Amino acid sequence: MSEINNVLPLPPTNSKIALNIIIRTFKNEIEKTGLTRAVIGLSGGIDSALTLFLAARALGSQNVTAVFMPYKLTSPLSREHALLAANMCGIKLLEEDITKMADSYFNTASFGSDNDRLRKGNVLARLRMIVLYDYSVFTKSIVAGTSNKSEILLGYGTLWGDMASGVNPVGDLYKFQVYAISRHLGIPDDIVQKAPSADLWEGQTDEGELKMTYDFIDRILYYWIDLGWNKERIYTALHEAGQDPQTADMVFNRVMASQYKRKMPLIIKVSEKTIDREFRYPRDWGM
Amino acid sequence: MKQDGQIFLPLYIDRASYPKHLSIIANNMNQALRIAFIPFFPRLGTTPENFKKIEDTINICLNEKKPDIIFFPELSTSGYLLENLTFSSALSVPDDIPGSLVKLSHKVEIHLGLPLIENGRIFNAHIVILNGSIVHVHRKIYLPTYGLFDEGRYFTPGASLSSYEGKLGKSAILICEDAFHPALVYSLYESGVKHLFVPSCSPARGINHNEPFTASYMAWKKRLEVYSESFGIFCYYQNRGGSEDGVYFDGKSIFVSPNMTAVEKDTKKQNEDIFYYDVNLQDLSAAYQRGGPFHDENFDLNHRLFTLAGQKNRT
Repeated sequence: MSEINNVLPLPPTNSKIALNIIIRTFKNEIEKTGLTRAVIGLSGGIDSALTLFLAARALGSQNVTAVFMPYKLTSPLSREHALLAANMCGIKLLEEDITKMADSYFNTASFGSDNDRLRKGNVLARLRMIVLYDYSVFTKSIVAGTSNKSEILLGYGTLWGDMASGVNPVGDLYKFQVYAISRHLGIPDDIVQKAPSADLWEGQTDEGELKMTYDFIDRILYYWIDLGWNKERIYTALHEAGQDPQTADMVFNRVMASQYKRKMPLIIKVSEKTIDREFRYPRDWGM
Repeated sequence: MKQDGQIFLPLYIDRASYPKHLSIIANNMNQALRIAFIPFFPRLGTTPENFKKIEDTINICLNEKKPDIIFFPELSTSGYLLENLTFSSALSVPDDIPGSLVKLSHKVEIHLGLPLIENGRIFNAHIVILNGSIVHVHRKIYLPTYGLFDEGRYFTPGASLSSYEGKLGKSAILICEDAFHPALVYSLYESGVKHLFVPSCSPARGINHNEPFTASYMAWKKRLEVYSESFGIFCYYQNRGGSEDGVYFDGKSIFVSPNMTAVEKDTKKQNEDIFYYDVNLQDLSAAYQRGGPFHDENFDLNHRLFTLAGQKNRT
């Protein structure tokens, strides 16, 4: 990887400044709604652990709830890591097992779904979000998002599932920045260094499914999106690094194909004032 | 000139006075003036509530530190990411400025940002209220409409530049992106302005470095230092505080003098803490008289060069 690091080096991450911005904004945006609490689905992975740490700093541990929502195939190590993160933040970990809910659906849906990994993953992600949103009403909390910028841009998440949230404090951080800030905060290596995974089946990893490493993905995304390099320039850089330039297409294509996941649903225009076309108001309207 | 209901002033409104640019800074040199920099955090689109908060803030300042000037940031009566709220937040001056606020201007010079409606057009404006009158209005000339900014969609660009005689002496206002354009600062310098107020709503961004501040803040500081050193003017910068729609505003305050001395709000202070700075006019005069490239400026030569460069580029 040293060669790609010469042609597409990633910048340093100023964790101190990032934390200052994120923590203050996270607190502001929740409190201006009149609420004080957040609820977070803790998976045992780095993204939700970082979100939990940020929420604890922004709102105080007493105002944050962590919910671990295993399915029967969830790794025991995930529970261990979720508990570790919650304990470090002084937050009690709630556990809501979604196996019965999920299997009941899988067993009764007239069109079946149990053998389709994509559909199964989507159902589990959406069931978890049902739990979190229900819990947020119960406790007058906001659901904090845990999807990072790399995942959101790739569309590597479930629409209205793990991509849903009220406020997402990590959604503008690439995975390499998530690592840097997590280390800065002292999140344990057991969580930081393990392979990212949606934990849908034994041995599943994000990078295995994506067929690319996050290190590679982040370099392409950062140069393409943040620095505004065109595709040809990125192809040339990859060529110089001895890599197949077309591998970048896997990133470009995923971003384009998943654009719908980053927008509100299409509304077919018939009036003079269509929502999000002419009817444009900030989310913080009156707040 | 009059065009589309707005009075257009020539850009160089005070050229006759420019040989005086080495003159004293203010009439009374034997005093210090205290400026309260307010990193105001308005509630988006709720003008009456924001006016109350503005008045409360002024009263707190007057009771605590008795400042001479109170400097609020851009669009303090409304908030920044207004979108269609621009229309319902727009105010006429002086009619829509509460009398109680105007009354306070007998005690302190008040700088306030607001969406200003004139003849059906809305400007991103900043006003100065002093001794019961609105003594200055600046309408933002350069409306950023790129990246996360969309001001050109909602506001009409201002087309005039002027100064006013405030408590500090000859002063002017450039709102946020206006101050990205050196030609405007140069014009004010040429007209003899010594004090430049820059109210802002600048989103904090840029974390890919090891410097102690965001890239956006460091860019502001550098820009003002260059202006101050090159043009011999004193710059006063105030960003708003708080956040809107997930966008954070750092609430930074900066004072820069021509000898490159920048005074900033203590970084340990909270985003919304008020920064007070006492401007000693004799110190300002000394800093100014110490000199710099601004003492050598040849305005007539510059104008001939501008004309020549313009002709060359057009051919």
